[in-house]
Amino acid sequence: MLRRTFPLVLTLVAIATPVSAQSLFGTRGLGVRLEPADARSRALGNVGIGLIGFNGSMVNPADLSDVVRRGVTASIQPFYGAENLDGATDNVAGTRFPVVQILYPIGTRSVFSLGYSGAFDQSWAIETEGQEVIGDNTFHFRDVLSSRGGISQVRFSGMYRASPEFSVGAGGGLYTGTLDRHRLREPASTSPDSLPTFVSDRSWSYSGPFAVVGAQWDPSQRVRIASSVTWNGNLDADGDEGIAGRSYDLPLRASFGASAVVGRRLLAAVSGEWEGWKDGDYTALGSELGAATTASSSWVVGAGLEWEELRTATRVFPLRAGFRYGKLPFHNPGESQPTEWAVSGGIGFRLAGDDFGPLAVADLGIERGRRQGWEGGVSGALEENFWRMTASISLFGR
Amino acid sequence: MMRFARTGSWCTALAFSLITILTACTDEQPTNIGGDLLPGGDIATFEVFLEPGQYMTFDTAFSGYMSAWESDARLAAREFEGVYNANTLVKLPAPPASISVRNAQGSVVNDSAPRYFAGNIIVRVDTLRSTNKGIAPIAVYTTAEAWDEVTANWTHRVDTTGARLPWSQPGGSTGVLLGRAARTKADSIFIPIDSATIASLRALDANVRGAIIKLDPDAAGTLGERMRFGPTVTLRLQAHSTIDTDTVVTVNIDAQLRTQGTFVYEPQPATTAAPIRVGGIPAWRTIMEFRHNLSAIEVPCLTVSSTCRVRLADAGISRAEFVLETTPPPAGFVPEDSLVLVTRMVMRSPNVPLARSPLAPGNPVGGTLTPISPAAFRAQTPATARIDMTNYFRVLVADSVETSTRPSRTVAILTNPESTTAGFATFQRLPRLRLILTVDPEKVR
Repeated sequence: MLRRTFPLVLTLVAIATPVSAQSLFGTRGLGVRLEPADARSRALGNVGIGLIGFNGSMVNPADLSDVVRRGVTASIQPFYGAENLDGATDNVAGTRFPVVQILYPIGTRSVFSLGYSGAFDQSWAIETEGQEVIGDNTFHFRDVLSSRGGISQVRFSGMYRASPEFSVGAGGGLYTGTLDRHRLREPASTSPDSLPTFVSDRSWSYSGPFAVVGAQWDPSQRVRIASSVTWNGNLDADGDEGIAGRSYDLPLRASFGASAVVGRRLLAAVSGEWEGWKDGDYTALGSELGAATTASSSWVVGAGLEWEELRTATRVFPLRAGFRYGKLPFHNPGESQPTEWAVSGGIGFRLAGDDFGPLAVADLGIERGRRQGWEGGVSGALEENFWRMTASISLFGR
Repeated sequence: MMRFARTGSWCTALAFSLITILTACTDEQPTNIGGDLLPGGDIATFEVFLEPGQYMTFDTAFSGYMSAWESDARLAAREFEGVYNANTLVKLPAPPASISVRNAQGSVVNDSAPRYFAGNIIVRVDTLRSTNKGIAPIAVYTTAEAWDEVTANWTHRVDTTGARLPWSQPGGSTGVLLGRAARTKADSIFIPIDSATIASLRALDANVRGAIIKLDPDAAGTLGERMRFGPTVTLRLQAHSTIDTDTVVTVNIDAQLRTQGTFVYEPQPATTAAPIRVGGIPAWRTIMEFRHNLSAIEVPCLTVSSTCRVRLADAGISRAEFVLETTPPPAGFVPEDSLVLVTRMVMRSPNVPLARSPLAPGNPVGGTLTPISPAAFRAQTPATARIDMTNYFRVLVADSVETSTRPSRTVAILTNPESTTAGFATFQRLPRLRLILTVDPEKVR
């Protein structure tokens, strides 16, 4: 096993080199939405709901129905993007942690989970160079404005199997997280006359409640339908001493998914999600000097296929492909709402299991996509072509 | 207790954990595009000037910090700038009563009866700090009266608390002319003396074996000049040995002007309107005190917006400088060399007058970025001198809590080293404080 794993480790270590900060789409509003979906869902173009079989996503609490053993599941999501802002280009990258969950079935009808996942990513950093003429001197400098952090959610969920075909679930928790805004001005070159480095830091802490209810129905052994609704309270951002905070209205979110076995060892899945953002000011913390940011209703739909023909005598390696398209919520007045599409593929590794279900599962999803939007604004249109990988592992006790 | 399936699963878990950790340690670098996404948010660096009344509670100038004897300066001047006269006094060493010579057998033996037949008094000139490059002729006289090198001044040969004895001739009572000469080579003036003069020097009591070095009043080219001397006056004597009469022995004896001499001058500097005096002999210091609560001072930040104001507490202090405009000092007191000004904290105490308050030990808290040329004090148009106070000012602005280590807000401006020149610096008005501030536009009003 180690011999097989080692090349994968080397590959991922090699790509873990210093790279640019994460998406510039995170500069508006609350940042870039992070879906708490595992690698299988991402490979299928799915938002993480309504999949037949084990689903490690943290969208619909009723989707815990396929968990039969205590276990843990975790995902990691490296991201690489090529940005184009009104003709200027650069690369960005970063790593996210979409979801980590502890799964705990009690009896045969109920499963509980405690999970932690990302909600919005606000990590980015922008560097500019310039000069100031002061008196007889011209000072050349390099400015860096960076934002690090985002909004996460801690969720406790429970599922109850009302019948073999129908399950319900509910959950609740808190949004949490911090945002550190860091400004730096340093001399472009060191000389005795250069000015010292200037640093300004501000931090905020997020908090806010949410609750979710969901249901899952299997009209037959080959079909599954699921949906969930998430209510979000106000998200409060409290600044450190002397730093003003603010509050954001978070939207109601509705998610829907369905999957069906449509052929020999072939699964088809569709899903969608809608967020009803309210009118209001969603300007990012620390960006009050710029134009106010608004939010429009956002949605995403996706579909995919999973084919389990590739297998050995003891193991299955599902192959997956999918597509998704959606609209992102945040933009300034006069700017177009950003969109995102991605084609995806992936593979699963059922590393160990028995008749009751999997004992060790690893999944890998790779997406190639594009975000674009904010045309009509003062900064010009932003386009981001990205690669997004998601790797998940789930381990279960007997 | 949870038991995992197989060893293989553990390996996979380990591999994914490792990937997670290593990838999470990614060091993100900023992009060089995207500045336009955040309009109005650039860091601003700008300069402001605080007038003395905005940051200072008082200022005053004191003199008398070092005497002429304590200083390194030894001068001779003759109506320099029309008014300034100075003479250097030195206690000449006695010609030695015995010398060492080598006898016919090649051994070094003591000769207790050398016969001095000629010699020179060698005076070294600091040509860089002298007007006319130090070529003016000088004359050396014996002093006609005993004098105290520590307290002697233009009018008094002894000026102590217990005794105050005037010179019979202001500027030092001259006795016998030992010789006169001008500089002809190198930086030294050789004044020949004969055997009779040497004999008279040997006969004098040590307390009155002094000499007065003057710019020669009878020679052309000395009027209006100011000459500064080097650290020693040498008595170079030539003697015949009584042991080997064919041998001529040269004896060099140095008098250290720093300890065995002083200089006297007139007049005392006149009072001028310039509020800032620094340096000179005796030395001037200007002492000033920063106001409390500097952090609350608000300044405009017009590069951010037309209504922008920022408290110093919310700004990055990239640079803080005293800005001084030079002005000519009283006639005769233009510094003879470039001046380095420093600021040092003054350790104030209720029981000690401000003028006698000690300076804080350690390094200065500020200093001129470049030495101030003497020309700056001659020019009709004033020159600007800047004293960097950045680090100290940052501490004062950040200092909001009374602690035992709280820095003194009282500082003295002085020259470094002190009393290095007879002339001193004067400045037109109290210093303005030039600040280069850097502000985060999101933190200002």
